Amino acid sequence: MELRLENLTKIFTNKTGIETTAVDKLDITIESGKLVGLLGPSGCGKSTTLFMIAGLVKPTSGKIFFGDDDVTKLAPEKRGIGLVFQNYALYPHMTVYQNILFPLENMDVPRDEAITRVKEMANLVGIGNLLDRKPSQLSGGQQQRVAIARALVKKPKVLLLDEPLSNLDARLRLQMREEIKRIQREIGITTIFVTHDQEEAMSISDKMVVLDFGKEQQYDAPQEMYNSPDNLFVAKFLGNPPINTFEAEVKKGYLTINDKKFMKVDLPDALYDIGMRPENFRVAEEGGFEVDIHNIFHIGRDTMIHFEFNGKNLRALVDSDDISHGQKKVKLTIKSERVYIFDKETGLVTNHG
Amino acid sequence: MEKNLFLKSNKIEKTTLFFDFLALALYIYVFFGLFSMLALPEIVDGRMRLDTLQFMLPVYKLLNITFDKYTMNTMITLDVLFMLVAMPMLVTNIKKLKTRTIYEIDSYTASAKFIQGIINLFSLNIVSAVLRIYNMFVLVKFVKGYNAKQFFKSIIPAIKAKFKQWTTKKEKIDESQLDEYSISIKKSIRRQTAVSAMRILFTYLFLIVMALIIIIPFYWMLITSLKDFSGSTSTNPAFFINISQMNWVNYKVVLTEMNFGLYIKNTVIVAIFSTAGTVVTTILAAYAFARIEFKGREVLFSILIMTMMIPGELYIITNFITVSKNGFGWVGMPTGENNYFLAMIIPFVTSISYIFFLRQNFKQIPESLYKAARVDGCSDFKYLMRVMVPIASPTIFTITILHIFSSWNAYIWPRIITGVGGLEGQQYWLISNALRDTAFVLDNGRVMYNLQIAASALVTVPLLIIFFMFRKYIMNGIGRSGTKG
Repeated sequence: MELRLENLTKIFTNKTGIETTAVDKLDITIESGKLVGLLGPSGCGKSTTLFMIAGLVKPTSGKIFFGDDDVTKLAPEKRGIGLVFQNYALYPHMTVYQNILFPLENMDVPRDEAITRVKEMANLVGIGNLLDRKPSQLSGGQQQRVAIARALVKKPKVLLLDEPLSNLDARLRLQMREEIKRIQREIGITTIFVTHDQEEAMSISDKMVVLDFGKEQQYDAPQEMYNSPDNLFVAKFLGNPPINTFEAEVKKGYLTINDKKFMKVDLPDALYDIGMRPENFRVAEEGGFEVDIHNIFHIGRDTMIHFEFNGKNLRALVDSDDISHGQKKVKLTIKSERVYIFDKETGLVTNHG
Repeated sequence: MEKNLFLKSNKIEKTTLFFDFLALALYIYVFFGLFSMLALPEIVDGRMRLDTLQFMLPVYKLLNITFDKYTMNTMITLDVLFMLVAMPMLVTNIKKLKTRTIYEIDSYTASAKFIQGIINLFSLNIVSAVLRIYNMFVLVKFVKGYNAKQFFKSIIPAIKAKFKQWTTKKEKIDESQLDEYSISIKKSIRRQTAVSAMRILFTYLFLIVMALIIIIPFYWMLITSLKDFSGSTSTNPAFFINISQMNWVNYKVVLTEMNFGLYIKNTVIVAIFSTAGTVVTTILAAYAFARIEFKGREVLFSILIMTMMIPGELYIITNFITVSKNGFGWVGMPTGENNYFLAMIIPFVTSISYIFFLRQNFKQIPESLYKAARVDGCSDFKYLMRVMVPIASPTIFTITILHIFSSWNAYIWPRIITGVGGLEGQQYWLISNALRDTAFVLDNGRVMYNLQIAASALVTVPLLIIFFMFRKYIMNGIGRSGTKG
């Protein structure tokens, strides 16, 4: 089912009357059966957006459509959504079986059907043998599976995941990520996945929304967004190690760094923010620009170089074979389409699609 | 092989527990049998001749053996002592049997079995004693691999070795050969040991003193309740009395003289209804203050908290006006039109401190559970009953027990309410009022304190039983309400 947010806005007012805009005029259409990652730094309004879709938070203005139906004023239990929380929110006094059964009890599903559905769902998420345990007797990953089963057992039209992996350890996180993707594919349910971890979002989502201060920054497929960020925020937010940024001038149609013509650009003369991703640098035999290496970090397959360029400390990620231990200088090149030039005022990219 | 020994030991233990249980039942049976045989003073003109109580010399006959009251007292006392030993032993052993694993068995377990066997022997429970000592041999075989013969042979060398260990002195190290640093380390270790030893010593001294302060009044109550009249009013009261001097007949007199059944019934009615009311109102109010958002919630809650600062005695008069003629008219009406129970229950079906206590508990339940329940289509009331109450059940349980305690102990309010009713009101006395106002008096007007105290001991016993059964919850409640305000 398609999910559409129209002009969705949430303003919180505290006791002294100060208003905080948590979500600002969000316009997003999520296609049926897709997994969409809602990504942003802490406090950017991603969880608020999720809770508005769930119906737990009332939007200040704007509308939410499930398919063609306006559900903005509908109660949460009538929307047909499944919600999974960061802390799983399992009922601690109930067994796994009772936890998964609980939503069905409220829906007055006939007993026999409810039991088969619970078992089916438990097997799907791989906890079929743990049904009579209490949540406290389960590991974090198992608890998360129970939470997902509880959300899915109602056969919801939309699955909402609120930072479901952030309480798990690194290994388990990778495993559960694949698991969620598998379950989502198997059922083909429209899913929204909230996270602050860009790597997680990029690996799991069909499409991503990046939010900052409640505003949509970009809505695109992960690799698209990575390769051609719309603005400086998105460029900075995605990628690890983060993108190198510095200021540089455009003079007479050339991007000029250290009074040298760096590349030809079709932009008016002004000061711009330049972004270069560390992994886009290549070590060159000839040409390129020579830099002094401050530090070398060998991290397995790749080598990280810290160097000074245009008065700023930048990082480059290059092949380990191209750098020898204790090397003092290196020549680096970068393809011109991998150089991002952002407008100083608006932060919007000027040389990409 | 080893595992078999463990299982065998467990099987023996189970059989032993069965015999323990039988013995306990027998002790209880004997107690009631002997107790019912105790002779009471004769009744003249509808009053028991309490004056003759301590001078009576009844002769009892059991299985064709005759004996006097001192032998009888000794028998009952010993029987009670056996019960007091057997009951906790049975309970702890059942608990241990349930939780014990094969890894926890060591020579201490075996020696514990031995000591328990000796205790069984002293309490005339021969079967359990034999079984326990046999079990000890099984455990010794399990732990050390010795059979009985080897075990007996190993005892003397083991004691000798231990003795040698104590008697041989440690080698003295010549400190002049050590450098300054090792000397300073040795010094600080010595100091640490001394300090920690002192700390342990003082901690236990303090705890012992405190425990004595708590225990002595209880002991005094029990010992006085068993003395005869001259013993209890002596200007030089004995701290210990001979077990043949323990007059269990005092309890029998109290139970016959006082209408215990009626007062206990009244107390239980008041306790049950006011506790049920309190729990219901507390849960609802605590939920409202913890979860539901409404205007003026904080203000209302502050006002409620403020009422906690008014001492309860201050609103006795207003409460009385509320329940008497000018209010609901539950008391102070002509005979037959009063409703004493309502007057005793209704003013106490709510408690601000419990609301506060439970609200804090409810607040600790994560908000996300509420959200999850909302998404699952759970109404507020259903959420309260299905999720909040079960999670907070230990606290609710604590509240229940504490409230039962306080209704059991209530004195002033029931006294006022029943006092207004005169003779009719006496039918509604709670146990505490009856204790205070039933007088065990001699013909010359002197109060028989031994009987009075026997009566209060009888009232304390149910509370003590509840306390020992649920002390975890009670301490939990008191402890938490202490730290959280």
